[in-house]
Amino acid sequence: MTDEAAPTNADGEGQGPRTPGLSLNRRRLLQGLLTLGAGGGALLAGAKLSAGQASSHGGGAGAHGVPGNGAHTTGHGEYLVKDRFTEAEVRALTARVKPLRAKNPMEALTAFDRGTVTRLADGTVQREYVMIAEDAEIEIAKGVKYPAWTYNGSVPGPTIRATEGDRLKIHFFNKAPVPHTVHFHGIHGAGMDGVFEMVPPGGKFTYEFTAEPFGLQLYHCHTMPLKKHIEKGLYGAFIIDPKTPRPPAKELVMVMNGYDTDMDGENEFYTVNGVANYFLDHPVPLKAGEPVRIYLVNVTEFDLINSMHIHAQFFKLYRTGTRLDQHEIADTVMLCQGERCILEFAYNVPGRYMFHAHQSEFAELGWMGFFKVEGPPAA
Amino acid sequence: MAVNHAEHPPQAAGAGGGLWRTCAWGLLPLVLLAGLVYYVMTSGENILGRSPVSQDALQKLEFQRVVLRPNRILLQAINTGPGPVAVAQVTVNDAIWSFTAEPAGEVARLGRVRLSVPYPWHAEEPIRIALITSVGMKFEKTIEVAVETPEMGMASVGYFSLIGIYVGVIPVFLGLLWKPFLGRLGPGAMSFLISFTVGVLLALGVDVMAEAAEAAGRVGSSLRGGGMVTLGFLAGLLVLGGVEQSVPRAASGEEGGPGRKLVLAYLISVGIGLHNFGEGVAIGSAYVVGNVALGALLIVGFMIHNVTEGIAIVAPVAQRRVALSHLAWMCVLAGAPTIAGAVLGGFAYYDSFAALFFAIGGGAVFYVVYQIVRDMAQGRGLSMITWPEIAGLLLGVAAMYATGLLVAT
Repeated sequence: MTDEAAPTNADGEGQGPRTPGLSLNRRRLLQGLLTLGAGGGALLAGAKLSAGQASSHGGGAGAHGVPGNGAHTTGHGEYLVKDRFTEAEVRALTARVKPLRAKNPMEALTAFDRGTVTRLADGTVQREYVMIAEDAEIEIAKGVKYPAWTYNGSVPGPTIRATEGDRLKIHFFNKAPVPHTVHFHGIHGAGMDGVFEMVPPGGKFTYEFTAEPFGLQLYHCHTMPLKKHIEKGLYGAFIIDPKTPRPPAKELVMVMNGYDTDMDGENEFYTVNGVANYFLDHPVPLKAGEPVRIYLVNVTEFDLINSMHIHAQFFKLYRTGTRLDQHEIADTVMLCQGERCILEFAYNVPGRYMFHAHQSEFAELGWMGFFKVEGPPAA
Repeated sequence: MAVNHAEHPPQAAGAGGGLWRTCAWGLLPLVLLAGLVYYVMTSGENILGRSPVSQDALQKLEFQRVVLRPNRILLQAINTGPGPVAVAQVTVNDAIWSFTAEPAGEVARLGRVRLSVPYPWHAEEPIRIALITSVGMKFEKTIEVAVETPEMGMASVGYFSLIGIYVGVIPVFLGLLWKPFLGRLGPGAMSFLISFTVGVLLALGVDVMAEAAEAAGRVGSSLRGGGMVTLGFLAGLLVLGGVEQSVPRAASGEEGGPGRKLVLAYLISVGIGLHNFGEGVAIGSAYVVGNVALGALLIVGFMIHNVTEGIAIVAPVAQRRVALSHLAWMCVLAGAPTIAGAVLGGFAYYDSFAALFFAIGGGAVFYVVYQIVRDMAQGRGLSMITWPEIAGLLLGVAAMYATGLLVAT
């Protein structure tokens, strides 16, 4: 996926300087890139500007053209996406295609949106999903409320799940006060990439593509300023199963993230599935001997990397999950921003096992939890 | 409220029913102001519209005091933002830590919250504490060098008293012992000595006012550190003025007479005493907040620094007989406040009060300078500066500067 460079070229202007004085020291990676303390009005203005620039700059991304959907713009600050939704339309659609929302990190572990399935004429499975961008105040640590930007009201957003080769239709509605998109990692045409087709407040867009390749992908908003739109909570896991399913296992989704609550370009809290220290207070229940498969996604903003370490056991590590025949054996895995992997393991001896980021700092700022293994010891 | 001026000429205002009228006119603006305040407070948004910035974004917590006990950090912070604040999480050295808050939950504007954090801190290492509010705002305080805060008790009171005696009383006493020497210097040396005193006092005054401004800067804006400094400065002036007024005419004698010199010496003692009180507060608090490793070197520095204060006190009466009891009183007035200051600073340091005390010291010292210079200028017109006086003035400032280097932290 090398598509990420284009919008930066097109939209760099009007977004502040790009990565001046890049330093790699600990959590201060991209400090000074953007002043994010600007009010909503300024943000909105900035986003509009960027949308306009994307299409009006000669040689910019907009000039290259984006096929399909009537999503072209005439330039001069207008949004590429013209379609607007009505509440009635959303109601009618969500009656048929229910948007998924996990109520807490525990639910998010196992909440998979497999979409509303229909068979196309040629026998292909078509899955439809609804994703609604909306602002929501969420609790990210005990007592700390965060004004998040969400898909379907939760951070992370719904885990979208399909099988390789399925036809996907993701109906996206923007109920938030600033433009958003959904940028899926995967293989698809440029017009379905969620980069140039800024969906304004009140706008809608339907992403249509075939699920490929199999593996663990992710999605996130790709509106500028990118850092802001990701850090605020617009992301989630996107699982594409191989046509021949993986062996049965207890499957868990873990999305590693951070929150910059005071807008200083550094994360105050680190979590899996959205709430700091949640799995310390609510250990993940496992059965002794039961195969476990973790879909691990890193969408931590500001910090270069995040990691996961499980105690007292090793896992099979499938990087990006795109190969079934190759894995490493490890107990700690390091993931870059946007990177993901699949871990498979089992605990044989009952008891409490810790898992956490092996950056102790992240661990002590909320990225820590327990597995609670029960049942008779397995052989 | 309509008043018919034709029927009630202005000169009638003072008497009888006119008194009520006067009061009414005096109260009218206040009543209207109160009404307006009530209206704006209850329905301000109707008139002014919603504030473009939410109170959450303007949250502010200011640390007032950090106390370190074994395996525990106690904090006091004040909410100086426009709206209520609730501390939701505490991190110590970038780790989420458990804590208890008193009161738990929201603290109103200008309300205080006390926090207790069971953290196993290590002596002589820095501690960075952050309070994260319910809306995610973060307020940090760094303790450069962690030292256990002394508990209020006889032992520690004795300790701080001893510091006060060493840096305040003993040096002043030693300085006073120069009196016989100064008395033998001959009349020509007197104007030099008095100018030296003025130089010393000017250096002290500027120094302490700078400290006052510094402390005021650390005070939160909403607590008006600047106001504290102005108030303290005026209070210092007035206290000294009051002391001077309270000296009986008979004792003070005529202007420039022998009694006046004694009064001047006492004024200098009190002025220096008020300055030393602030100095004591600074020393005591510096010890507590771990900014200074209060070693023998620093004590020695203060002793040398403050010996000059003794000279300053005794200068006006250097060439006359003064009862020993007078000298003893001067020593106590100038030196003893250091003890009280050190104890206070050691147990209850607040930047706001420090700014006040420093400014009081500054005001007192400048009052004394004014009095001395006025006496010096007596009958001299405008051209008051002689070469010995210039030398004395400069040497006085230079002496304080040079010895001040010994106590630089």
